[in-house]
Amino acid sequence: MTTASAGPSARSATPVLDATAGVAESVRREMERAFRRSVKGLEYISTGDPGVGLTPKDTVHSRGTLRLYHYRARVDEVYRTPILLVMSLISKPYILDLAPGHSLIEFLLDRGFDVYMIDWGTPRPEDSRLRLEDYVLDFIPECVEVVHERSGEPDVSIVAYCMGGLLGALYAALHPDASSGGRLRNLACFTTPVDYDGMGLFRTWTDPAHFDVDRIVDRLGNVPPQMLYASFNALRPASQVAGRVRLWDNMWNDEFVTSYRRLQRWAADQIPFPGECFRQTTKELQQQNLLIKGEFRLGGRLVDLSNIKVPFIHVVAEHDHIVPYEAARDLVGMVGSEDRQELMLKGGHVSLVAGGNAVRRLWPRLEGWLAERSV
Amino acid sequence: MSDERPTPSPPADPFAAWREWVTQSEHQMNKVFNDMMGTEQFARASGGWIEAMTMFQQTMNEGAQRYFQAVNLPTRNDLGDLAERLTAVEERLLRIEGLLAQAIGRKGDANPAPRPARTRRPPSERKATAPDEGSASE
Repeated sequence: MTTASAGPSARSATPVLDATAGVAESVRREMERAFRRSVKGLEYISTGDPGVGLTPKDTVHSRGTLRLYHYRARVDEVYRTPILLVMSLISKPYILDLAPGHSLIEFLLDRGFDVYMIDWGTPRPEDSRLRLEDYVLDFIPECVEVVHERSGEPDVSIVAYCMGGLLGALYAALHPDASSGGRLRNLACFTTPVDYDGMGLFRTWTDPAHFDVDRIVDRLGNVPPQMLYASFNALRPASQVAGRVRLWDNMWNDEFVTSYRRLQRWAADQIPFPGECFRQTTKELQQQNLLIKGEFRLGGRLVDLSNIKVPFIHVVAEHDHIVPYEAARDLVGMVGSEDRQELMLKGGHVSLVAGGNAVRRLWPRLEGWLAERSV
Repeated sequence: MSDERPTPSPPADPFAAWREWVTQSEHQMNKVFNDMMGTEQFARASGGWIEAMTMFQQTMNEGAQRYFQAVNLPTRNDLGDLAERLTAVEERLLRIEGLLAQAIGRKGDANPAPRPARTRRPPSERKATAPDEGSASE
């Protein structure tokens, strides 16, 4: 055997030679990448943003800036219960439809779900008077009815992300579910805050001693997206620079660059927050924390999350810096469903729903959960 | 016969070390900044900054509005009012369109999306029934 014939000196020299060869190999690889970086870097500068939100769809209802999309089926047989995606008010909904192969919507269609989505659109100055009541007691129920009429099915599952999760939960608490003559069959929320004491820096920054929400809304109407973007970025100020460094490091990697550009485009593509809604959420939720205290009212009605009796899942991200776990963890305990669960997955606020992490972790879990409850 | 030699450790990669340093630095810097931004002093300063910014924005808006009125051009508010009226007309048209479609017995748009059968079963049930059914529908 060769190992037996090797002498002590040969054996001691081997690790040194291996290490030298390893370093040489990594230097060679980095030189090659450096060359590709310069070529791809020019490409990066000269090309526009990649297309997003491309899954074929029809607009089946519109009202003001609101659009209700129905995505075209991609299989011959679908589950009976349609899905209605409810999105956040302050970000664009294409985070769930970034690109072919990286789209939760496309994934759900391929797995046999009938998918609708509410796109709130970009609020206009006149939308500054919209309050949570408008969304929860008017727009969402109206869209649910359109889904019912169009699908011919009596019930619908709501899947809602971030602040959309809050809207979905409020809707569920204030409307009868499918077992009581209503329309809601299942509710899936992702990263939904209910205890605003757990909102970390947001909580500090919106302390009424220093943050005068009335003046902001009275002066500006809708809250400008730049203010929202700056506040989100301020949560992880060094990550912007580190992200650029990683982009440069991976400039040779087409897949990384495309994915980075899509996510960056979405992150920077903030929309204004309707003024009155911002005033209401800041005062009653962020500052007074009324929802967790059971004192939050919408349209004069007390919001009691224990009224939610439908099958419920709350998916939270382990490293969510926007909605920390402390702000989200109580939701599952507050709903009254017998069939309820919280699922914590690795990832951050965005990587929970989009990108490679979501493809591996959230999407298959969501499919499994919905499939059992959509027949 | 087992090989007694220990598994060789992967060769040192100076670039991997640099990447690790970037990640560690990012975490440390974020923590330092977050600690700083979590103080009352920062919250007060940021409140003052927002106050100044919104005041500036309001002054600019009012100045621009007065200028456009002086030169007899529509202001942002005028355009907003117009957009609101257009939206109301658009919504009324959509309602009329919907009622017309119902009246002639046709729901939805002119090119309705394909209507697949709503009979799909979850994978667990399809697996269980597959041997009897022959081939599972997919």
